[in-house]
Amino acid sequence: MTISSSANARWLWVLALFLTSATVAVAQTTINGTITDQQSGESLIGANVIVPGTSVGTATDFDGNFELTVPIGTTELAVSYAGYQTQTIPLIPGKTSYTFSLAAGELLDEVVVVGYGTQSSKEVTSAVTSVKEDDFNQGVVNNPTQLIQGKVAGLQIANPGGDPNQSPTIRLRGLSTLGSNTEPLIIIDGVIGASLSSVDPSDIASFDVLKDGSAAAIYGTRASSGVIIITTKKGKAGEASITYNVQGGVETLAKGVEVADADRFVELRGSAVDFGERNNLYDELTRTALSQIHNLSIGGGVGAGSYRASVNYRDVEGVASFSGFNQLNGRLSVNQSALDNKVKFDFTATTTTRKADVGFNDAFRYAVIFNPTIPLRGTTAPAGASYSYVGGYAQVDQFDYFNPVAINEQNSNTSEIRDQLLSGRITVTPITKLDIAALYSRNYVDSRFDQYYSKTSRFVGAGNNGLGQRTTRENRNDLFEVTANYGLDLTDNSSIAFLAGYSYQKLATDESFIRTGTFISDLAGVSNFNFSNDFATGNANVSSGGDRSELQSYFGRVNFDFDDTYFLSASVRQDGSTRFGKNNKTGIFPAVSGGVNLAKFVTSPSVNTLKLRAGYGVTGNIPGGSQQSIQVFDRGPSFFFQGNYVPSYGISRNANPNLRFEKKGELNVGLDMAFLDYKLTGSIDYFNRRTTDLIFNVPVSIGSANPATGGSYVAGNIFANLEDVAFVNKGVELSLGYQVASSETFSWSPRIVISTVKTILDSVDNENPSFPFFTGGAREQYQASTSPGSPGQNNAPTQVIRAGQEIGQIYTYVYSGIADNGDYIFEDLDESGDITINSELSPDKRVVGNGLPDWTLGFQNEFRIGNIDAQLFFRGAFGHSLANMPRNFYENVAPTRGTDNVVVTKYFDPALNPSTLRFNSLYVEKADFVVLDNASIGYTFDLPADSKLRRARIGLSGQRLFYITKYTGVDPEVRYADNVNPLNPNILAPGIDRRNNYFRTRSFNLALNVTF
Amino acid sequence: MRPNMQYKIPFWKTAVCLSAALAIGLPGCTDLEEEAFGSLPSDQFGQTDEQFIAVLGAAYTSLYGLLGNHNSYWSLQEVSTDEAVIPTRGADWGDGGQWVRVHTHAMKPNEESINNAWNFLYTGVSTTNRLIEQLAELDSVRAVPFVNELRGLRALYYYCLVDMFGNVPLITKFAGSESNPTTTSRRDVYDYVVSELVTIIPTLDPAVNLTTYGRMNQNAARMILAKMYLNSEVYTGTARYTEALQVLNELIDAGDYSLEGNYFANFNVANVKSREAIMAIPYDQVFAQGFNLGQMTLHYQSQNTFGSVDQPWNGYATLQEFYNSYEDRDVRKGIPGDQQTRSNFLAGAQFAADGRTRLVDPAAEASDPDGKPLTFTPEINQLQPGAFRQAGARIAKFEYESGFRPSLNNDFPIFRYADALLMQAEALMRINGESNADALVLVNEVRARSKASKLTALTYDVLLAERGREMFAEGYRRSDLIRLGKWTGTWWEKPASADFTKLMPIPTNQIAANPSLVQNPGY
Repeated sequence: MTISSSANARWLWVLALFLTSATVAVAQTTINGTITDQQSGESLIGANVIVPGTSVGTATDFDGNFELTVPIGTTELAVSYAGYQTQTIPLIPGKTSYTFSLAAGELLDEVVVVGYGTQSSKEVTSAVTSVKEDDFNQGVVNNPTQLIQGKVAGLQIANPGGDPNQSPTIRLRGLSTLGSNTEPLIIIDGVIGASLSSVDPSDIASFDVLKDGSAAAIYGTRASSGVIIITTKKGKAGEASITYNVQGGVETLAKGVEVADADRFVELRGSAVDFGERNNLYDELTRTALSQIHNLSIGGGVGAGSYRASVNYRDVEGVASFSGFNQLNGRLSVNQSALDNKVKFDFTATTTTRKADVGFNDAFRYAVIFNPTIPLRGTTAPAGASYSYVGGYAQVDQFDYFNPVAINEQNSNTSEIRDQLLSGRITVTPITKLDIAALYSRNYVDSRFDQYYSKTSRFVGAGNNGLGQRTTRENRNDLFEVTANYGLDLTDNSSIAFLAGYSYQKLATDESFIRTGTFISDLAGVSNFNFSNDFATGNANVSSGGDRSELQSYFGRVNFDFDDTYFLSASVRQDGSTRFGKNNKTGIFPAVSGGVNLAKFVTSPSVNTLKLRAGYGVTGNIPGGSQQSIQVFDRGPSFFFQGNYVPSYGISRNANPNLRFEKKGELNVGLDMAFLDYKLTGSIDYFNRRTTDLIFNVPVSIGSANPATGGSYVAGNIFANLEDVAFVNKGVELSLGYQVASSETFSWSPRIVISTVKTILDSVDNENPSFPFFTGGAREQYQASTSPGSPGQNNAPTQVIRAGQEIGQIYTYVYSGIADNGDYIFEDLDESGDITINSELSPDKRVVGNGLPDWTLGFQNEFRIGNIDAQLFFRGAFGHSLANMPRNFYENVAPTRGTDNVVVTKYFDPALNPSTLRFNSLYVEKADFVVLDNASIGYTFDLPADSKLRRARIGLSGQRLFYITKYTGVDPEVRYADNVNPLNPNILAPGIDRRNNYFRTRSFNLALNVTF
Repeated sequence: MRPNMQYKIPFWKTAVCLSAALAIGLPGCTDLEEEAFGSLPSDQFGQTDEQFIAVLGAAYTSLYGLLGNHNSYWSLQEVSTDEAVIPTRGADWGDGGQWVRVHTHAMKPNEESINNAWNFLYTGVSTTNRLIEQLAELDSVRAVPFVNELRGLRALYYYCLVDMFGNVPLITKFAGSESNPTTTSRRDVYDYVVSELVTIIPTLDPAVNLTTYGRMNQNAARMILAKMYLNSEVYTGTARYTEALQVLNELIDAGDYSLEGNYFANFNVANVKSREAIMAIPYDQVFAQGFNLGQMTLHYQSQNTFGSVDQPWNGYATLQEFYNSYEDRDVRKGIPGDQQTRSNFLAGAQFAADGRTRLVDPAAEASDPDGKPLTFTPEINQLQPGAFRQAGARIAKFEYESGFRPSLNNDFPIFRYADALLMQAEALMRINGESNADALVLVNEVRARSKASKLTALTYDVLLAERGREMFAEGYRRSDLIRLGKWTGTWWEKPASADFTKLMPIPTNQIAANPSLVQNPGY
């Protein structure tokens, strides 16, 4: 208790000092100065200046200047900066102005955050990529991961279209799980699994991506898809600073599906469907969207404490007039030392509220096909017209055909998310170099999703006479961890460090759901479900449910540095999860990696660093949901018992007490390089990972024995570990940068990032697997359950997965021309004389493309000319194809959809009017692309010496400015998963460009940044 | 309420665990045992009366979807025959060709509907197996009457399996069943079902009332047994018509049932009191969902006739030959363009709910001679690919109430007295000859109720046609065509099919999950 009260006392003292700092300068001296890079002469921003042995210190401003009030008697100052050698300078009595030039550290030695600690980059022996704030993407970035899109070799972040409410899909080194955790584990300031919505992009200081198994293994059973560690900005010792950043953005429609205009529509479909108007439905649906973003932060520190508080507000409109959100985020972090730095407290609190208009992206699909000659709004249609006005909107009474404007004007789809994260850490240092830390955190994410469909909405509501739906979900993530770090210097240049830890995590989700119809009026919407009559008639649905799981882990690591030349790291984690079956409650995840700096053996002065490293690590993946390992009773439908319906309960899910983690082993070999006085830097990595025991919902034979329970199978599928397949991912990643010019007046540093990955589903030699992936007698192929869909194209899977081949193969008939009657002609691949039409496999189908790219590219250029800075960032993906669904359904003049507007890309041929639509190679296009993802230019003002402002910069940036691609669809971006059901993306069916996809946009944004 | 699942382990204990773990590697602080959440732990349920009934209920709720449901058992029993079809209507209903293949008997082992049917039926088997054991464990005394009922239900599932797939694994245990059970021959499964039924029939409830209406009562079990005997020649090669007749006589002679004066009383929304129902699936739009016939067959525009909550899918229709097999005077046929009078079909001009405003299909094909005003022509221009959107008379045997939901309220008879009479007639013919006079009386009794003309002579073909007209859309046509020798013949766009198609293929997915299964010959 004494500790905490002492901390309180100190806090009051800090506060008092902060408030009165102007008057405390008695018996003290003020030192000022500038800190620059020894080579380039550039000023260093944010370098630390401290009085050794005290907690007095500050950081340099944006011009490299500092001012520090030091106690009388101070004899020296220490200056440090990440990536540079620390320097101590004696003070000359009477001299108050100094200039320090720092030399770059031996390895450009920046701090890299690894699991449960940090390392200097020279010590890192696994594949870890660190991206600091300076290298982040600029412009309007609403999702944190977009800050590093294209910057990390092997990390793919895809966000097709311009939907402001869509989260990007993230893949690190391809797909290595069949379970639900296909995306990397997110860790924010040590909080495992923290929600990305808890952090505003502008509060992030760095990302550290643990790519390979040897780096990620310390996170054990959730690390198979990699780990992304986010570190937020903290207050720095020294004077308080206030930063305000405001951005205004303009976003416009860049590309929609290429569709016939009204005149062309009439030409193609005949005058019988011409009702006079000449609408451009995309104009009706979209707008020039405006956004504003404000970030205000204050930070500083005095003595042994520092703090930072920030408020971030975003008001973002989507290009579709129905979509947008506003978000308010606040973050407070406080760090305080006590008892001569023997005890440290770190405290973080964040809160986010986000209110979003999600709308219905279906409107895009119907804007493509809705008759553009029909007056969209009105009350009475002319006699004989084949449309009518329902609720004021023109509608054609036809299946799957709606007025695109009505969909979002009549109905609403909104969400509200409240995210709170509290975390506290206490670190005790009883003896030098031994840190014992305890972390407790709680992350609450409450969300509410509301939909209301009007009584007159043909899209959904009309038959229900108004329909309201509300889903609420509360997620809670509690984490308790204790770690101990101990370091020991063996010799001057050799050291050993130990880590041991314990982790307990509990994840809880509670959900409730209401769906009810027959509303008396549309006005109240979902604000009062009592206005619905479906409760009285029993037609309403109400349900609740959730999920509980716990994880418990022990872990340890040892790092060894011999002579700053040889490095070795070994770690092990034992993870247990309630989700595992009772027979397999825990798993062990070991890793070992080593490196040697070959530059030590090379005499050439142009070789600065040449570190060869290799590592192997085992990680895992847990099942996506709970209660797959135990037998439970679920509510069934009602049972007609003696004249009344009574509830029934049954066992409807198969239990698998043998359920265990997916297991991934990964070998990584890499080389870190720096040449020519660190002008040329780079790294190259090769990896080979193999994932076995993949968790999949495997078909089983109902009624036959479930050997794990002693009972029988009660349902046709069971979550189990597959025994006949493994994922194999192999790839190479290259990152190469060169400082072309670096002077006070001009600098240019390009960096290129290239990565390749192949994901192969390898068969495992297992004669009689209990849980096979492949179906069919041959046990060699699997048909992904994804089809183009209704109308008419159900049960027509587009993808095939074969043993030993890549995933993502698009498999279908091969188009070769148009028959006289307008039908497709397909190639008779088996030369049987006719085309075998089959739902799944057919001798006349073949692989016509792959949804996953062969390689991806990021090309970054940073320029500085005097006060002007500029950035050009190109991003590309090559070798992937997309199944273009808008074309597949609508690029024809087939008579059965005689009122549909027609997609008219360069492939359109009016002779094609197939009687039955059938997905084929005509609709599979190569989608290689390069995009100018980001171009920005900024000007930093020269401020007068007496200015209250410390920095002022104005910048203009543009995003997704142009694409080079042959793809005719809306967006050539890779579709890593099929999002036809966004709540349950199909990871085995990449490469499908669906009809409901949001159109592509282009945005510009003006930003002003001032620091006081 | 269960205690709140807060941390089970206090912090101090965690700390102790930690030090212990660090020091000597003791096991964890929490046992990581998984607990039920949002569900009920299987070892703590079924104790009270209410729970006991709720557990039993699962056996009956597994019947929901057997009949009148898309892409499963019922679809196969109907679409493979001369009374129903899902034509490929241009852009609609191609679905990878499944429905055309089923209709032309070119089905493949990977048809989704066949796998769905298999899974549906074996879910029923597995549920009844489980309950037979579990109810006895819960309360061995109270379980007794229910166990026999459950054995009857299991026999019903096996009857469907023997009829559709023939050679299937015979699984009769829940605990200690086999992994990868091998295929049992059709004859052995047949013998098992018959012996089960013979054993339990005397113990089942003979009452005809609301309690036994949706339950495996004595007469329902007799109906299964009669159907097994009647089809015995198909299933086993050995004719057992005398046995069939005996069982039917027992049922009919008891006099508990009679023909409803109005045929449609059996199929109206409020059909629960039908005097003809021997056993029914008591569907309900809220409580007991799974009967989706309105969605499956009606045209998109029919939403305006019935004010249905969802727009129908414009799929199933009947064949012109079949439609025309009814006499015009037959109330079961109805009058084209008259949608107010109940009939087995919706045919001819279609109107809005007011009965006067003509419905219009704005998307009707330009080549459709009937144009845009909606008309269900009994003629279907082609099976695929360009069947007109409005082609084909639609199935309207079950009443579509105003504002119907995707799941209908009408109960679906599994066994019906009229069927028993026609089966009795068939047994008499089989025993005494095709032209048996008593059989003719029975068939005419059924026909008379529908104002159809009196037949003067019977043949098997006439009987099959009459079974079609009477039992239309009730899920028996496939079996009837096979038993009465017309399955492999031709009709409309269906060519002659091979004998092996009398059994459906064992689904690809099932063979993958259980390599011991043997594919039926020919597939």
